[in-house]
Amino acid sequence: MEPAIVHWIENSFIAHAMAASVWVYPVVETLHMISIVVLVGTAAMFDFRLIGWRLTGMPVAELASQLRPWIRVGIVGILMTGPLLFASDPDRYLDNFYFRLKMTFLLSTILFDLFVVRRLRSPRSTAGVAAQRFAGGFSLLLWAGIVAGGRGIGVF
Amino acid sequence: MVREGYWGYGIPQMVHLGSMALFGGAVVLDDLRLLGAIRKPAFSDLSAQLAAVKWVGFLLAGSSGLLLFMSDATRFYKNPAFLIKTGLLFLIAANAWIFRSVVYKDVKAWDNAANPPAGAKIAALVSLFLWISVIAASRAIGFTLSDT
Repeated sequence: MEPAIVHWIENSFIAHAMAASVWVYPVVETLHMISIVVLVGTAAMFDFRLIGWRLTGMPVAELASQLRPWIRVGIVGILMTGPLLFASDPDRYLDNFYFRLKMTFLLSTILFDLFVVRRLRSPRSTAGVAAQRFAGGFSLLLWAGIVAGGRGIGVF
Repeated sequence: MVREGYWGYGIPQMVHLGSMALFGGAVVLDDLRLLGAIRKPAFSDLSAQLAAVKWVGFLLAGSSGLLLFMSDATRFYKNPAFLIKTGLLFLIAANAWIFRSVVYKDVKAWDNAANPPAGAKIAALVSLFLWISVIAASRAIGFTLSDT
């Protein structure tokens, strides 16, 4: 049994707008994918720095401040498109195993970023190399889970 | 072989999307550096550092893409979005080659500049436009594949 809010979303004007034209859903989904490339691409480069593989010539905090605006662009794009896709058919998304998997990884990534990676990004961070490597590697795994779950929603 | 398995099709799809994000993400960073939207490090340094990421992304995206194509070659062959995507990938390669052989030749003159010259910016804008188009065409394949 779905919560009442799911039915409210399904009957909202957004859901109707998403269904109004055969073009709306593919266009929103394309924008979602472009945002994913921008966000996951830049986040992965930062993680590669944390694990000490790439961009090692730059201090972590400085790289973070260079990448920040583009990570934000990706987040804004995803926030504008993801909920629209969900609103188009909330019942089906909620029932989909891969959607739940993706949301679990997403929530884990957000929490891990807020409580762990954010401290490593700070110019005042005193974290050692081992902590950076662990955080970068773990973050990469979480991102891979989000991407795999997202692709799984449509395939399976 | 690939189309017969439940996982056989899904896993190459996941790898394809993930490696596209890696490859595209690395290229986008190069482009943003060329546009002056990211100011450090020196372009040649950034580009060399990201080369390995691009190679890994390219090889994974290429091999998973080839598997996906082989799973249904006759349907892909007829699909306009797939043909457009293939054409765009050649244009991306051509743009990169022109950039390397024209603009990058005197990289020493602008390597550290926060604001690279117009030629570099044009190459970066063309690259960003082509990448956005490739993603759009990729997504369109799934919506337009015929049933036969």
